[in-house]
Amino acid sequence: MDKGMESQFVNPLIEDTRQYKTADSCIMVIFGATGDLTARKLVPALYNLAIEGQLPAHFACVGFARRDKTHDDFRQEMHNAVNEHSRIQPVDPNIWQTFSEQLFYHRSEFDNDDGYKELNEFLKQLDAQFGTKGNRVYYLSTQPSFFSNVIENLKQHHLIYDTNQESEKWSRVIIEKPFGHDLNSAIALQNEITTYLDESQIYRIDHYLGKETVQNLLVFRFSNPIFESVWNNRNIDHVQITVSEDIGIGTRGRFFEEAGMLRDIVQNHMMQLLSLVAMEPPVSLKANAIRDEKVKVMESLRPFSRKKLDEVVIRGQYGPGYIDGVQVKGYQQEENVSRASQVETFVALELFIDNWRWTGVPFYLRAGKRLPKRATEISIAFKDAPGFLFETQNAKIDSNVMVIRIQPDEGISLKMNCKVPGVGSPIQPVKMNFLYSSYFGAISPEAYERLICDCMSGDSTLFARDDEVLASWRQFTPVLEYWESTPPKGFPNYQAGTWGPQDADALIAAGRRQWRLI
Amino acid sequence: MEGLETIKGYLFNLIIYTDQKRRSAYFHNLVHTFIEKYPCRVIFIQGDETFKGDHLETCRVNPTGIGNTCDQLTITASPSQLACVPVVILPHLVPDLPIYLVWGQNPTSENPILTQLQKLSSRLVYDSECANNLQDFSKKMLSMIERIKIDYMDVDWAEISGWRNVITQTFHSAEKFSLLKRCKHLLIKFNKIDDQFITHFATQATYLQGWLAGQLEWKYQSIEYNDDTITIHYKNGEIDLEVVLQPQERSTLIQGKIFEVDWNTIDNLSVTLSLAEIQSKVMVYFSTPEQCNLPFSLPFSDIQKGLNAMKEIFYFRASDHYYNMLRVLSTIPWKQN
Repeated sequence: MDKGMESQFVNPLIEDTRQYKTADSCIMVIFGATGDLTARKLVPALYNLAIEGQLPAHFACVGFARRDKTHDDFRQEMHNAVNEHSRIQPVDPNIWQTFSEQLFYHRSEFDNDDGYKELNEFLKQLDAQFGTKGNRVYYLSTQPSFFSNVIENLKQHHLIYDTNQESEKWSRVIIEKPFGHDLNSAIALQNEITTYLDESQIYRIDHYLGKETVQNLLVFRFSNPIFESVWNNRNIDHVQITVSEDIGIGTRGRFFEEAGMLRDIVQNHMMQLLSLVAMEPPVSLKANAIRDEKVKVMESLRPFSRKKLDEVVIRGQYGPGYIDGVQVKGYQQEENVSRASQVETFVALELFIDNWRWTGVPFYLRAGKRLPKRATEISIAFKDAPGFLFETQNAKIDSNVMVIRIQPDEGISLKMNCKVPGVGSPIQPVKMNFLYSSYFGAISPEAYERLICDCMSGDSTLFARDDEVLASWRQFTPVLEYWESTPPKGFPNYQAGTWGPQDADALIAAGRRQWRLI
Repeated sequence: MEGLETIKGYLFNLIIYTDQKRRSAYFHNLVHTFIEKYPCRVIFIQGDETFKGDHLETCRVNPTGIGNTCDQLTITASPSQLACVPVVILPHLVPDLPIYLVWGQNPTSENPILTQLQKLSSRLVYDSECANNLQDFSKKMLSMIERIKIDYMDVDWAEISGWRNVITQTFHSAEKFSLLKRCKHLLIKFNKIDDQFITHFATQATYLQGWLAGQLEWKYQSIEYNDDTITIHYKNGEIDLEVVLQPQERSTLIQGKIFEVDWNTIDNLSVTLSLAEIQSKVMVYFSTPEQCNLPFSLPFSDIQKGLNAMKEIFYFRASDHYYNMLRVLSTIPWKQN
């Protein structure tokens, strides 16, 4: 049947009341398959997709790494990993058996020409065996320095297709953050990979976008006009976004010494949260319609003034302290961290978005390690009510605050004021609270499950676009350059288990506000 | 915290009505499927013809094994008191939340309270298991659908949603779809075991073939019964098509559940969809007399699982396909039960 007839074909079995979103048949090749991410997240995600029946009808997965292993070695290791990290427990032996028969291992260095030739032949065999039609997802779970090398080799060995070939089969590349380490490197990386790939083939993963609660931001904002009508500078005093971790850097010392908190969390995850909170309603739910609005937010960010940088961007580093009553070491005592490290484990900053909706509304962002608790939340503090009505009662009227809790205790709460029952009684703030766990018993898929499935379906909505990434780097590269030239004074400057350095309190106090106690 | 009662939030109100004790246990089980994952206020109305005179009794219970996650109000009423029930339940409905009415009777038969309860409800869910005459049921449903102002869902239509999905995905392309146009034989195998709750065990199979007939515009010719096997003859364009609904015992499946669908075409192509043992996938086999293609699997959503049940019964709307299916079924003189 020719393609013209195919494109005109309307299947009468399709019901208009249902959405059909199935991942297309494909082979996923994971580069860096012996790494931590594959074991903790990627293969458990694939296994959970298999359990839920969301893996494509025809599928295989190949781990690509330099260590010497057989297929069975790799399957056994992944079995152990799934036993430990799978969302759905216990591991079903029947499903694991079927799933593991789709797992393979290919040994090669990333720059070995023969390795790619052999990979190509192997994938063709798997196409014949599994019916995967030549479709490919390449997951680069590697250091960013390998991206260009791997992509170039994939292209040269015809493992990545030109987009004009993609009416019959497709190829997509998922790359993990960080996308560069500053603006110039991000541009260079973008230029390198777009030599071989079209933007439509690139899926920049930010796992925050795969979280159920982050996806709910769009639904919450744009299906509830009551909130959207007050979501602006006439009603909102300020916004706080917090990404707080009680853990330290663990075994990621080597990586963290190169990255720091600004690169690891603020430049990517927090900017995604900010853009979803601040964006205008999209014209549709198509990927680019949403991403267009997010980019507009990024491009409206007021650049930092170099003169005031120390006042509006605060950096910190944790010293020894206590978490949950247990003594913990300071950052400089962590494994693979320099004893004189100047890398920040905490960032707090004040941002402004210069557009009609947000002019004059400060956005306070803070992210840190070894803070008192693990929490990611967005709090919207509304403007105070005119106080004259309740002056005679000496009543302190709290401002309304809406909190969107991303993790843990996922949900949304709204603080409002109520009269305490009784004669002449004070006014008491109370909370309306929606908790996901109270309403929905079903366990949400992990972020990686959703994102991998979306990539296989060709849906890029939840992946970062090139202009989003570059706009974010444009905002933060001057900060990084300033920090590079101006070493911090007095690191470490906060005790583990506290809410960060005092300068962070001063930052928000300068606006006569204070950080929300989480 | 241990020792403290935890109250979950309500997502919706669920009103269930039946006057058959046989069906009570079935609906209680169905409620359990939902409330384990989706807490709701349950109002269970049991009409009881054994009560003579005036009898109206209410009690509040917690569903067994769920703890304090939601509450259930059970109302038992004699026929003379049924008309009071819509008023009795009014103060117990959680405001601002959807009200789903599960009607455990034939919705086309007269009942004093159905109209009143429908006025309160945002969705009517009914069960064709209650219908003794499928042709009559289909005709009356067609008429009712045109008048009904609220969303509706037939539980058996929801039950076959998994099969409709996998069939649509199997024959998704124009090339694959053309096989259906050349089909001369369709065999649907379904489970038949002794079951006190479900006596019309062929309903899901009947619905599935009715859906295909409606969408593929098969023209009904005749029907035969051979014990429990039903054979329906259609015209598929110019081709004489034979549809066989064949019960077999599968003790691991619930009554009436379809576990295999086989197509054969006039050029001897064969397509088999077979429910895998794990029941979350269907294996698909394409073959010709000369060769067998490698089988592949498709995900199968089973409404025995709470999330799927919620989606299929309470969130999705019945499409035009359901209406088309009823039109087919209304033209066929099914055996009365």
